[in-house]
Amino acid sequence: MARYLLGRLTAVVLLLAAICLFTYFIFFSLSADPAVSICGKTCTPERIDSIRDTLGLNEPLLTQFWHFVSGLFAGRDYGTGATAIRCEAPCFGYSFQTNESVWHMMTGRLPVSVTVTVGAAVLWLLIGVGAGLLGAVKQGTWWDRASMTLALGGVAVPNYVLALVLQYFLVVRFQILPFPSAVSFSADPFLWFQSYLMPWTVLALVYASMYARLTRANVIDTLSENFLRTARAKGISRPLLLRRHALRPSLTPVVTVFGMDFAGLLGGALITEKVFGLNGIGKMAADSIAKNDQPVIMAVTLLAAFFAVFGNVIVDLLYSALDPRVRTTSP
Amino acid sequence: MSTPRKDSTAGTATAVAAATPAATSASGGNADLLVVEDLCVSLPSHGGSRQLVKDISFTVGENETVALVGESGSGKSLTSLALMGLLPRGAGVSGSVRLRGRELLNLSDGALRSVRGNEVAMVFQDPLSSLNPYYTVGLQIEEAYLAHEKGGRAAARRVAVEAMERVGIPDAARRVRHYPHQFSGGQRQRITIAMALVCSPSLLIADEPTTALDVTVQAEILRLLAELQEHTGNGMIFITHDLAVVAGLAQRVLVMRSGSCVEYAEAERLFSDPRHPYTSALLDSVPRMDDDIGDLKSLQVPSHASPHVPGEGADR
Repeated sequence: MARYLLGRLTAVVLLLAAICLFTYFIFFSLSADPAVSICGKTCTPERIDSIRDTLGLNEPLLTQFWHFVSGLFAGRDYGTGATAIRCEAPCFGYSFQTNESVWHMMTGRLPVSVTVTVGAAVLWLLIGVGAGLLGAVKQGTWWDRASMTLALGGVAVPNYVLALVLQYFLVVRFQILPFPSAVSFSADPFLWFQSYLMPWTVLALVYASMYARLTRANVIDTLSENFLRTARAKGISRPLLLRRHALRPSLTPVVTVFGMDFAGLLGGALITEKVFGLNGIGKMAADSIAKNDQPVIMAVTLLAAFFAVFGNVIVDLLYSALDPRVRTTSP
Repeated sequence: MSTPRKDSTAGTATAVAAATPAATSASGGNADLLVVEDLCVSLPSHGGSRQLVKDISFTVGENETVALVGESGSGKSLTSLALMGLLPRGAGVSGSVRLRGRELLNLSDGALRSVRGNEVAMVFQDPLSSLNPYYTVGLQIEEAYLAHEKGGRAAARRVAVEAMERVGIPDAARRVRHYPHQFSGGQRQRITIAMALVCSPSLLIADEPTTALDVTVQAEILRLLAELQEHTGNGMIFITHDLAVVAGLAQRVLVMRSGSCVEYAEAERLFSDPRHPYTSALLDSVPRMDDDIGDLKSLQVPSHASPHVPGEGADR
């Protein structure tokens, strides 16, 4: 197990390094001159030169990349002598737009993304797996058809449409909820909950629809397994039969998908954050792309890659915890 | 259409008594444990329903083994599932199944559940897929016990270990914590047998229990079933397509084809003097060691012996 983990982690590090290299070269070699975009509209050639010098843009691309990578782990200095700016590790540089440390921007916004993701995940797992199980157990009945029709609708409706519709009815029309605001949990727990309720719901409904369909299909598959017939022949009660013998084997594929979805959302729920004005990683990514803010683009890309890759490792570990056949070899 | 020959139940019982008096006295006067009369099973198909088992009647006494023999799709497995009330939803059953005089076909779900695994237990065909891969074999044996007996986890664990020892799994105390994939095919079948026996059922239905196993393991499992029966005196319904397996095991044989009973007779007589052409064809199809090596025989039976085209296979 330790050996396996070591191998996996090595692969992860190599993969992240490759992603880092690839992204760096794409963004820094293909897009406009950063010095020009930092300098702004009222700019002199001397000023551009000095910016290029400070950022090290006159050096060969590979040297620049090396500075970027070593900055991540050891920090780096921009410029030389008395005017040098020290950027502590992990150094992702400074935003071209706001001059803010990118690392600080990320750490400030990550909690928002985590809150959105975790809340939505709890909701969509409850709704999705519940509806899927109901559909499978009551297969062919009115319950089944109703929940699957809703699920189909949930997949089909884009989440920004759903977000706007919800906002219109809950906030504008009937004023049940306040407009989402950036309030911390410690300041006002109730307002915090109300603010996040809509983003959670919108994200959750989209995912819940997919999970309902996935769970239903898996449970129906499992119900036709031979070991289910054996369990029934033992005379165990129906709730136990469903919970122990039908649900658990059906959930393994759901866990796999869940890990990937969860990790993906941690890297930013772009549309949802934008629509609800949440200051998360997703909004940061959207803004940085719109303004060609390269250090930020670089950072959010790496962050998303980091979550995706580690999400995958965690899914593998979970899988071996869930399925004994993966866990153990022969006696 | 010809009527398949059917010995009357009473006639067969006397025949058995006359032929093997020792067996009769061992079973304590041969009180009928299970009486099946005119059992019919139909399954929904293409908007209608299709009768896949027709008028099957037989009896099983205590300490007695009755074999149901036939090709795939002949309705043997459906018959056994009907006895257990395990037919798929929408299946129609008629006739009568009485266990110790109690009618099983009209029991409520709850009452039926207390019969299943408790009074009637079942061993299935494929030991690879009939155990849940996600749970230890110990837990799966324990839940069979806990479904019907009062007693805690600890008692159940003790019973599970004992049951595994009884079916010949070495080092049972340690191996109860292992998962199905850590056992060989033969061992897994032993475990499903242990699972079936944990509540001391009075009737054991073995549905092709040796089909998925290789020949040497087959013999071991058959010996195990016979030994256990000798010990507990349970009645047994043994379902197989392999007449060779039946020979040393069953007292009576019911040959099925296309859902109907073709011949129902005491085993010795069936082997020495098959009365129905289908039975002889079945017997001929078994390769024998002392035969000349020729072509394998396929079943060729006069078409009038087949009431209708064989349905889709009951065992998938």
